[in-house]
Amino acid sequence: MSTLQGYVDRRVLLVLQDGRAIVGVLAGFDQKSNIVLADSKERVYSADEGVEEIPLGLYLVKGEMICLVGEIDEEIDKSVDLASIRADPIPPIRYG
Amino acid sequence: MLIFSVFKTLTDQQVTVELKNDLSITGVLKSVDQFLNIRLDNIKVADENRHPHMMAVKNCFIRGSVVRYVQLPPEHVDTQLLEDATRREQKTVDVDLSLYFFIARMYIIFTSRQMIYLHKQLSNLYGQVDASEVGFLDE
Amino acid sequence: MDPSVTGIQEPFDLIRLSLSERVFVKLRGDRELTGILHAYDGHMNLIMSDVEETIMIVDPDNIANGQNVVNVAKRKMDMLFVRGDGVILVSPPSRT
Repeated sequence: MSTLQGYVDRRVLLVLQDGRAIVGVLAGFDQKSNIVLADSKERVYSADEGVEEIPLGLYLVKGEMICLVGEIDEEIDKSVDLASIRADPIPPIRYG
Repeated sequence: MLIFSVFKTLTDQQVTVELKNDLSITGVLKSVDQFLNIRLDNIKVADENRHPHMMAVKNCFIRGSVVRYVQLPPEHVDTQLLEDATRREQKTVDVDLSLYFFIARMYIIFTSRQMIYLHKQLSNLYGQVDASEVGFLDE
Repeated sequence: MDPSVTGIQEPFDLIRLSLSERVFVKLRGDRELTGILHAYDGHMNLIMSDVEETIMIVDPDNIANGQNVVNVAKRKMDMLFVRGDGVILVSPPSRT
């Protein structure tokens, strides 16, 4: 799968089928889009509190669970104050 | 295969991908693979106030299995061509398979004969050639 | 009717005969589409144009006469790829 190649060693945002958002460095991937994320943290969004970051460490995420992988622009990410963001979590996939 | 080809012709065009989690992402189609996984550049998420999660993301990989719709640029889709290709593809599956086996068979007969001939020629030129070293004539 | 006369031998033939015609598509998640069918494959992936989508949204809190109120949202799209795993049925144009 050529399409994930450009993301190796980059900081990425992983959106999972259940709506969780995990950031980390993409250490590797395979044909089924299983993904190894280094130094990963979950970003927990809530409508009445700022974003909470929970350290997770080294994760292998099963391809079937993955919805989207986005390359993080470090400049923009640093300029965002996560504590000030109020938003509902990303909805889970239905009928996946 | 047909749909994969259609997406390939739409690379570098702007599309809107709607996911099964109701996220709608507009961006330039950079690549697509046989699973219809999609790479988008220069992305914009619809209703960004409600979905600030992707603020720092400028390009992304979307897993094909979570796509509900892709809105395509109509001016870059030849509908007549699509209909003809769809009609053809349904029929060609059977024809293709039998043709494939026929060619594969001919190829084996043809190449092994050629290889034996080549082997003899080489042997004449350079003395005995070790077939296992050259890698043909396995059978 | 004789299959050799109608040219219909298998379910997909019904869709083939609907190419370039307006079809009705029922999807998972209480969604329906009508549009002109231009392409499909064995997964029932579809490409349609001049599409109108209807989404039925059932409001569980709003009950009138003992029945849930169903809100209907409609929108139009020029050219649309529909992923086959969401398709429940494809119905050829009515000849009335």
